[in-house]
Amino acid sequence: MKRIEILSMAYLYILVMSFFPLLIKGILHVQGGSYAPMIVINLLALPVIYGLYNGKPWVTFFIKAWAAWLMVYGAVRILLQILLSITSVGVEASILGQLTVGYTLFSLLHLAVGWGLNRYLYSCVWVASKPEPSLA
Amino acid sequence: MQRIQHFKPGRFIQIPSHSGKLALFLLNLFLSMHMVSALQSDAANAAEVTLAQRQLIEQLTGAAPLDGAQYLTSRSTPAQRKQAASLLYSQLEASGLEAQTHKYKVSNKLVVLDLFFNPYMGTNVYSVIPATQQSNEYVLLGAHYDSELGSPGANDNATGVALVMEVARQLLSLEERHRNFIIVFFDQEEDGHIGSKAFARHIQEQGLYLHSVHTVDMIGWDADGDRAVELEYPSPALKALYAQAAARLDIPLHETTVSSTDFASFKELGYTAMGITEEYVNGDTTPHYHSATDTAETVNYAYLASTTALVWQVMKKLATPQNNEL
Repeated sequence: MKRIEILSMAYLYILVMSFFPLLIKGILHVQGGSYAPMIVINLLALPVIYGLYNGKPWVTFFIKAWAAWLMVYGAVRILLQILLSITSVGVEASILGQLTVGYTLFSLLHLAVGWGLNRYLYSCVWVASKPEPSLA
Repeated sequence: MQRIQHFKPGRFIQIPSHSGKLALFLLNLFLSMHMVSALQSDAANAAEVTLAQRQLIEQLTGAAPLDGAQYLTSRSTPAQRKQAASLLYSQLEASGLEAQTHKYKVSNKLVVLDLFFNPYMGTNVYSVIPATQQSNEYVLLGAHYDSELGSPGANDNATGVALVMEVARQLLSLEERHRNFIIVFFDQEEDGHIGSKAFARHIQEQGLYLHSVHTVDMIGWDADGDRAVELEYPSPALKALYAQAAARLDIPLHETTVSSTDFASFKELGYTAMGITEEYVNGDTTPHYHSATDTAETVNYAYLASTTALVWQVMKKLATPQNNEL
């Protein structure tokens, strides 16, 4: 029976910390009456947390999915920022007001973390067969 | 033996002596001076009213600094709106009102935007002026304080804010109020009445009985000098009330069925709500709408004062017990 082990504590720490910003955003949106961000985050994050806790080997798939989502999130935000800097006609002030330096850094951070989680997945996460119990 | 004094007719109005004449002269002088002083005081108050409104508009539009020597160039980004809300909060407190904030979060209009952007987050600043008599009725008077991105928003809507702030001060000075008044400065009207929608829901959740809602938006342009005011969606009773006050002040009124500002948020929930604005119906409206040139210098302060007087007369009437049929 296969189990996974996290070989790098830094990897585990970054992976766990990457949940928090989006989780906070999800809570903000729930307070505003929108459940979509929270559903998306939970669909990806809960299997990762469950899989890691129980050492399930399929968790690598969800870590990759989570990493991909972080990269998509960061990239789309940066793309939107570029587009809205070119033309912002008809765009609400509440959205334009969010396009600050902090917004850019937040997006770049997610892009970098997503890339890092994906790039170092197999060097930091070890999927190993659990030793069979000895018959002797 | 006591000598009987026989008074001749007119004796009582005769001045008995030079000292008496002097005393009466001094009394007359004192009364005259008191009356002049009272008149000067009224005039001074009137001047202060205009000054307070002008100062507020200048602060909201960056023509004058805020308390921290910072200037507001617009009131659209979260940081700018926060500064404007803080200014209004302190102004309400300085007027002797208990200022409160209503913070809200509302999801974006498109779900996909929720994935990449924060929800709408804003702050309505408000104060309740309680009735002096037992009453469960509330009259809401409000104006939005945010502006379009890149616009100082003098006419839209620092003028409305200044009007409401002034009427609030006057309401507070009334000795008797038979209704409660809610004074509100809404956030994010320019993004689709977000602040007023949130506040309307808040009122509904509180279960307050709103007698009527009056919102003021853009009231600083009067090129033809006729002081005309446009009433948006007034109920027949409210229209009659405004017409009565307008007739006394010689202000022409127009009625329209345009619902493009904050009062619509209350109307959607079934409240009696109406808007007050400048004379769109005849095209007498600011050419600086949503532009960088909507500055404090373009505001017609005489018109603002005239409309302030109109709204004040209506609010004063609503504070009296004779309007229970409305």
